[in-house]
Amino acid sequence: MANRIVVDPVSRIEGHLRVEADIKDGVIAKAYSSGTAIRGIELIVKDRDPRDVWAFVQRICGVCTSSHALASIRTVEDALDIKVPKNASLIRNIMNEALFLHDHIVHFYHLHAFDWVDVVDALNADPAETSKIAQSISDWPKSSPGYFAEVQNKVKKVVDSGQLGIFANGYWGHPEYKLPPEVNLLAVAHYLEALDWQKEVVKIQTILGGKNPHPHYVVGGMATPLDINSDNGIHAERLMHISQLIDQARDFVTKVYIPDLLAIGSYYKEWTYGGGLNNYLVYGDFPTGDIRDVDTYRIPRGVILNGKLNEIHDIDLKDPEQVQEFIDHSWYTYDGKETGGKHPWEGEQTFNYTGPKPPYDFLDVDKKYSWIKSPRWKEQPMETGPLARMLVGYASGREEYVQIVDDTLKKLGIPLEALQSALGRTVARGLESVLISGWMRKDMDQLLENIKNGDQSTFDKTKWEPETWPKNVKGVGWMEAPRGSLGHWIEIDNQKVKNYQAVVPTTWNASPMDHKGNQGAYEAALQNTPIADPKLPLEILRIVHSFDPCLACAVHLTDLETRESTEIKLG
Amino acid sequence: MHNQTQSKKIHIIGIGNTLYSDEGVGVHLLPFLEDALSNYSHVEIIEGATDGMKLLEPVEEADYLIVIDAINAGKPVGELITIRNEEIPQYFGIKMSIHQVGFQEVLFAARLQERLPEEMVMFGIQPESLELGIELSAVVKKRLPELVAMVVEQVNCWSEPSEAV
Repeated sequence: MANRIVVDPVSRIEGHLRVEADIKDGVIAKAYSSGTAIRGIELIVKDRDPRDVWAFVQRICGVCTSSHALASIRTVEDALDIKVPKNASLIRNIMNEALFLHDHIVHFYHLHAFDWVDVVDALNADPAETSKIAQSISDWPKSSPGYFAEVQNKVKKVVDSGQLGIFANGYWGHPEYKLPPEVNLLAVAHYLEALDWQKEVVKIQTILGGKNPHPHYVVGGMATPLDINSDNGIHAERLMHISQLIDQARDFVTKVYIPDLLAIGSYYKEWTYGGGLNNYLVYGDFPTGDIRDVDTYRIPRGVILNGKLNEIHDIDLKDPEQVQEFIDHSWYTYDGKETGGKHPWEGEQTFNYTGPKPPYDFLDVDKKYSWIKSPRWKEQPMETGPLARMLVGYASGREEYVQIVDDTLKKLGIPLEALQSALGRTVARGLESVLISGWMRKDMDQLLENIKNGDQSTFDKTKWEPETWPKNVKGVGWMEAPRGSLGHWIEIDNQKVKNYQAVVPTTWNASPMDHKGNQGAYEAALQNTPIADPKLPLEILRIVHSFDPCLACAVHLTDLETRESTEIKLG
Repeated sequence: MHNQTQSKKIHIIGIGNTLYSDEGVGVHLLPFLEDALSNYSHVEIIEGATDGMKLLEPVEEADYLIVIDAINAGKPVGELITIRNEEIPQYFGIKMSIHQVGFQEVLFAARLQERLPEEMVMFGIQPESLELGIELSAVVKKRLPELVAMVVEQVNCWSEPSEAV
């Protein structure tokens, strides 16, 4: 009899995920992804001043605050045809770049690493041997035997105390852990270092945005008070501080994150599961010119279908036939109907829960089973995120992408197709971090150059006053967020928000089946994966975590025969 | 006399999501605390919202820590709840607070780094509504002055006599 494995929600913020997976003969026969929390931000911003919307939408998700803020001001600027000053564009880039690095490194070390790294096994390591390995892969200074012995001691204290905290939820000793103890210890040491590193990198956002976690944005530019000669605001000393933080961030990426990623990856290159759709969607971002000038993006725009890298399809977010959200398996209605698709400008947020009454064992996956809609591009499911971006960049022939991808494949001794996997997604996130940390340096240098030349402007006020706006306009704001392509669509009528829709990366990736029965990205990625021990579904965690879902989840394992249920929380 | 001792740093972190009514009580309380504690230079008030690891620095740098959140303890709606020190992580198991997953990780990280505050107190209210909406429920709103008083009392208790205003 089949087991069904369930990933269940813990809290209520967008990104709460439940996965039900049927396991037959030790392999996932079919998986179903369900969002079990509603996201009603569209209803909250209705009738508000469009200039205020960013402050509400940034609360959609605690992790992606500044992403939603930026997508929101871009959609208003698109609707009102506002061009922001160059400095504002640079500051937005730098803040987003800092967010990417923070997010990717916290994801790798603090959310995902323990799907590959056995913390408890690090206690068996010989610190001298770890030191040798560390010194052979990087010139990062903290690499003495004494240093690793100290780390081992810290872990030992925690293990001995019996209060394992987040470490308590791992599947330590699972046969799918392949690293030698010494590499496990190396990763644990850098888990701790990354905790300190991330405290620094967020300061880039704090200084430029005024405040973290909720930095200040403004329609028409940035509120950042650039003034090199003032005592307040962003003066020369603060700019220098940002500059140093950027260099430190780059150092950590190239000397710690990447060497670790390659060292860990080299032990798992046979584990090729978790690919999935092979359809990739990227809106693109990090312009060196105006946001409307797509050719200046350092993350190029495009869609790849069926893994065919020789053809890149263009995206038009305003075309009603391209991006549509379907509700055939989602708890919504459109114009009173249970099925169909709508472009976000016509989008509708009418809740219609028809699922089982909680507490329940299983969802009725033949009918509706998610609060997440099914966004599709030309009616096809898509994966979005780091892997999509690296592949579109590579397929576009962008030199920096081709170089870093080829170089990495060579180091790991794997073919390009191997990237279409959970491990590949994790590697892509690392490679992207290298590129982004380089762009952050360039953007900062450009900003400093502009300021030196006397340009301190960050805000264009010509269309600030609502009296200057047309009576009815529509806009779309897009960006690349750490987890993938993010779009906000707006209709402004009589100076107020008439309709608003956000289609977020997790909606693309975690979407349920659509009107044609096509699965979403998580569902497809999980299918056909062998599960060594259904009670300890490490493989499911690896695959779902490789997409970087927004929040921690809880896994419910339910055995159909015994009705035995275990709950395991995931970090 | 009061220049003899360097006063200890007290950090107050309000957590919660203001889009889900009472869920955001930890954030809604902060402006009232800013008023009530405006003369306390050793107190820093931090809007933690729904953040995870970004809160590590304010946790590690505090000598004393106060956390405010909606806490589901199965108590009558609006009841005020206080949890101290070691009890805070222990409540993880029964998922009392909606944010404990994220914040728990932060506390654990601080413990691993051996930089936990000397003392920690978590103050909360049993929520009435976690529905979509940016306003607190009337029941919870009514209890805010008491919650402010509890926080101020705790701050005074940790402060040098000369600092209490």
